[in-house]
Amino acid sequence: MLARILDSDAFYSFRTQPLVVVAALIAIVSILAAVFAPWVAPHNPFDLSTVDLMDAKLPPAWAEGGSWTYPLGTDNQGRDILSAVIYGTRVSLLVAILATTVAMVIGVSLGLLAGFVGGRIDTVLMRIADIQLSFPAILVALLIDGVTRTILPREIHHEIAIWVIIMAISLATWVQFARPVRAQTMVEKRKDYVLAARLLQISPTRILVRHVLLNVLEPVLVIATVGFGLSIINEATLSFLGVGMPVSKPSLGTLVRNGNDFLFSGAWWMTIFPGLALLLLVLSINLIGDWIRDVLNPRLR
Amino acid sequence: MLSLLIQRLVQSVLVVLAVGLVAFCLFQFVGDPINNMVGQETTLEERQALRDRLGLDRPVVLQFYQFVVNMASGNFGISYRLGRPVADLISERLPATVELAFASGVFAFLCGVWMGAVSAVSPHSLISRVFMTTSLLGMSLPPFFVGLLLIMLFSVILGWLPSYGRGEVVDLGFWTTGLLTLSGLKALILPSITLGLFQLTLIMRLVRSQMFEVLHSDYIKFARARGLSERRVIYRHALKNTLVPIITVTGLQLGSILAFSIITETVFQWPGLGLLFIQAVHFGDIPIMAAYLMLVSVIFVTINFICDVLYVLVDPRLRVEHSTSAAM
Repeated sequence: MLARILDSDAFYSFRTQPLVVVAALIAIVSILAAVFAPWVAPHNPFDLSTVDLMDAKLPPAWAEGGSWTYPLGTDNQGRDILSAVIYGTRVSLLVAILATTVAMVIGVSLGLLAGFVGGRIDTVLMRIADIQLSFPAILVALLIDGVTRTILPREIHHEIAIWVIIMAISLATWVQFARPVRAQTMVEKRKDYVLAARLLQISPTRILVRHVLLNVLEPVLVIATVGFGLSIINEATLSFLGVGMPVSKPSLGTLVRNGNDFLFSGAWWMTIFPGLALLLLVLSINLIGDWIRDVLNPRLR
Repeated sequence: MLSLLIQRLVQSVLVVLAVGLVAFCLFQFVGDPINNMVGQETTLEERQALRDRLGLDRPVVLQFYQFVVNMASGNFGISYRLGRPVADLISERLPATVELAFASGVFAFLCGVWMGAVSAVSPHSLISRVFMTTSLLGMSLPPFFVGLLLIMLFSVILGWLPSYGRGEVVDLGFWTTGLLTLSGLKALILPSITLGLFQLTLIMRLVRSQMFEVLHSDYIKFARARGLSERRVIYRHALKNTLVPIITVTGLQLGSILAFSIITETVFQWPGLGLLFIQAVHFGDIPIMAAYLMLVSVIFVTINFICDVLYVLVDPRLRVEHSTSAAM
C-alpha cells in the first residue's frame, strides 16, 4: 500500500515541487498545533489567573525588552501572542472547516437535485444562484450576520457567534459547489450506466446517491480546497470588521483587529504575527489546492 | 441583438426586485418599525395613527409596492442611529467611495494589463517570476492585512503617507472631492492600492493566459513575418485582442470593488459608504442596511448590463452570431 502511494504520479509531482512540500509541512504543523493547542501553547491566554497586566505590551524575545517567556511578545492585557496565535488558528480552522463542509453539503445536494430533476426546481435554484453570484460572498455573509445580530439579544449572539459565522459563510458560498455539480450531473445522467440502473428499476434516489454522486465528486475536491482557503479569509475578514468571532474567543482575524489599535503606539507585533500566521496558512492551502488540481486534471497543466 | 438586450434588461430588473424583496423583509420582520421610530412616551393611539399613515396595516403586497416606489424615488427612510434621512447620508458619503473605487480600478487595470503582458511575453525572466509570486501572494493575502502592512511601512516606519481619512477635500456643492488637493491625493494612494491589489492579480492572470493564446495564433505569426517590430506586434496586435474579455472582467470587478471597499474603508477610516454600512451592521440600523443593499444591487446590475452591451459592441462576431440565431 505504502509502496503504491510512494510510486504514484501524484507523489512524484509532490516530491518534485519543493514549494508544495513546504506548503504541506506548514499546513500540517498549523493543523497539529491547532488541534493540540492546550498542550503545545506555552501559556493559556484565556486563564485570567496566569495573565499579568504588568507583562502587557512586551516586545518579541529578540527585540529590546523582550523575554523568552513570551517568544512573540504580549498584547495589551499581558497575554502571550504565540499562544493567542495558536488558539486563534484553532478557532479559524474550526470555523473554516465547518463552513466549507456545510457549504459543500448544501451545494452538492442542491446541485445534484437541480441537475438530476431539472424542470422548475432547476430554474428556481439556478435563479437564486445567479442572484447570489452577482454579490461577493463577504457582503452576503455580512448581511446574514447583521440580521441575526439585530434579531438576537447581545448575550445570546455572543454565545452562538461561531455558529452564526459558519452559517453566514456557508450560505454565502454554497453556489460555488452547486454550479459545477449541476453541470456535471446533467452530463452524467445521460450516460449509459444511469440508463442501465434505471432499467434495473433502482430507485432514482439510490441512483443519485450511489452512482451519480461518486462521479461528480472529483471537481468538488478541488473547489473544496480553494473554498477552504477562502473561508479562512472570509472568517478573518468578518472578525476583523468586528462582526465575527468575539474577543472572548478570538480567531486570527479578531487578534489582528485587537492589535490594530496599537499599531501606532509601536506595538506592531500584536497585529503582524497573527496576520502572518493567517497569510502562511492561506498561502500553503492555496498551493496545495493548485497541486491537487494539477494532479486530478493534468489537461490544465 | 435587440432581443438579447431586452432579455438582459428584464433579468436585471428581476434581480433588483429580488434584492428589494430581501430588503423589504428586513424592514418587515426584523423588529417593529414603529418601535424603532417613536419614543417610549408615545401613546397607543399615536402609534396606531402613525401605523395608518405609513400604511403598515395594509396587505403585504401593497406595502411591498409602496416600498419599491419609495426606494425608486430615493426615499430610503430615516436612520435609526443617526436620526437623519438615509438619502442625505448616502449622498454625503458617495463621493468618497466613488473616488476610491475609481482610483483603485484604474490602478488595477493599468498595472494588471502591463504586468500580465510582460509576464506573458517573457515567461521565464526574473521580472515575470516576481510578478507571478506577487500575484500568488495577492490571492492569499486577506485584504485587510494588505492595508495594515502598507500602513505599517509607509505611515508608521517611513511616515510618508497618511494612514486614515481623506485628507483635505474641496466642496463642489453637489460633490466633495479629494482629487484637487495634495493631501487628498496622498490620502488616496494607500487605500486604492489595498483595494485594487486583488483585482490587479486577477487582471494580470487573465491578460497573461489570453496573451499566451494570442501569441501562438496565425495572425501574430503573420505580423512577425511582415517584419513589424516586436513592440508593435505585442502591443498593437496581440494586446489589443486580449482586451475584450479583460474589459468585461474589469467591469464586473468594479461591482465587487464597491463591496470590498467596506474592508478598505474600515482599515483606513475612509468616510465612504462602506464605513457607513459596517457601522449600520454594528448597530442594527436597518434603513441604512436596506438602502445600501438596494444601491449596490442597482450598481451591480447596471455594470453587468453595460458589460453585456459593450461585449457585443466590441466583438463584432457576437453581433453576427446573435442576429443569425435570432433569424433562424
